[in-house]
Amino acid sequence: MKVIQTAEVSTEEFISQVTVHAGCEDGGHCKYCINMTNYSN
Amino acid sequence: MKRSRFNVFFDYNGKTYISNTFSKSLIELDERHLKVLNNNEAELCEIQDSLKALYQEGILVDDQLDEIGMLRFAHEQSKKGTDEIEIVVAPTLSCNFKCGYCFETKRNGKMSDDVQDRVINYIKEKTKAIDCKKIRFIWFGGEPLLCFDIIEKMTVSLNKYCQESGINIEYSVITNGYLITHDILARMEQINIRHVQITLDGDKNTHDSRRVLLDGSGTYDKIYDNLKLFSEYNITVAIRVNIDADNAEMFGYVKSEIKKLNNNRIVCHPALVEKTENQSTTQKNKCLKGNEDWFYKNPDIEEYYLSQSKKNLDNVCCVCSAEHLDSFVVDELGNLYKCWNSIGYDDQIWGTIGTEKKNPVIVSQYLGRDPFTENECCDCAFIPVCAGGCIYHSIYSDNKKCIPEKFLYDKLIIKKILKGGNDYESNPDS
Repeated sequence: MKVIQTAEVSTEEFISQVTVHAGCEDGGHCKYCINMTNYSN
Repeated sequence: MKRSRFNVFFDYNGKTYISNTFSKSLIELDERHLKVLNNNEAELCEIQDSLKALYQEGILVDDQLDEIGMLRFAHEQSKKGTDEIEIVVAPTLSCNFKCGYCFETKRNGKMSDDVQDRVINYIKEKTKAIDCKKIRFIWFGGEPLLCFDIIEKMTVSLNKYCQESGINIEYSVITNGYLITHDILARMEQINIRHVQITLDGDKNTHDSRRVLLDGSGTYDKIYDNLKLFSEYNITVAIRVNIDADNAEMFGYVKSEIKKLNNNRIVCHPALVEKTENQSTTQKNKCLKGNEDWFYKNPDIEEYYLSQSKKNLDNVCCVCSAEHLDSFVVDELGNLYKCWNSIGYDDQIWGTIGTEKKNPVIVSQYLGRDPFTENECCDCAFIPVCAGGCIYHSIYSDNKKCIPEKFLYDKLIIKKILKGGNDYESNPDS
């Protein structure tokens, strides 16, 4: 067994960092609608 | 300890891996570990020497941990978040296009002065009541540029209010791009509209067979010419390529044509055409389910999703604005909706601007939904990445549409590691 990539988030971190906003973070709608999400390309 | 329900196994370059979709850890497995981890009946003590490491990487979790409960907690918190809201306003449902796959109900008329005032007041009241810090505002339609005068007037008013109130407001416009001119772009820039989404569905023949004016004539040349105008303005353009069974190979073409514009503020993304009730049977039959293998094997489409690997694999700890308590969509008559796919459909009206009365059916469907009780999703290891997926789809569609990340996870997680500076793929034996 070889660990290639360690965990980037733990359960403790996750519940303390819940993002309290709607939709996606970079200027548009969420990944489900795939609208307006790709400004960062 | 127990096995996490978010573990997935896959083979890549002749080796077997386990990854956890929540923690994003990746572990190469030998036969002994595979045999134990992939069999719920096997005793974990058979790999006693690795239990601590597997726990640290989230492959094993505490016996008492309710992993679904943890996601549900995040989801419920996000629904009530007040820092940011998303507002979608359609100043008209009229459109100068007649696209065969359009999901919207068209009607003539523009937002009246009275409704404009009521919308502005509603936004002011709402943002004051919840102490909102940021608004993501989307001009939608119909074709919103048919009434740019209304957009301009309301945007100026909102800018003034937000500046006085210390609210950060960010605007986007979803347009077919046909009515773009230098004058419109200059005025957009002036009022701080910085993002535009325009659709191109392929080469001229393909696009012109799908996205046509009311008289049936093509629109490709005009839209492509209009895209050239953006080079003089600080406005970002997202080119959406609507894909169904007819044009999947066109994503690469559009990407190459956009590259010729030499404007790095214009980027492309693929999107599946949604099957909706108002489409013809022929169009419905062309719509993809989103789980078609061949779709993700298209090199350009695969490359696109892999390029988004970092963002796309993030855990969903925020909700779509349709599920968010204070976000809303409003049409030209002042009717409120939760999802912009609902706009113009009377049976999907959530409420009306200026009244507190809300439609219990819509409240129960959008705000009362708990994706973590939907069996199909609960049993899926990818639920940390999608949180149950599109709510509109779950309400109105007869088939569950899963996110692309589910079908490309192995490649995405490898790519994500590469982006993080790990050269594992080039030296897998190191």
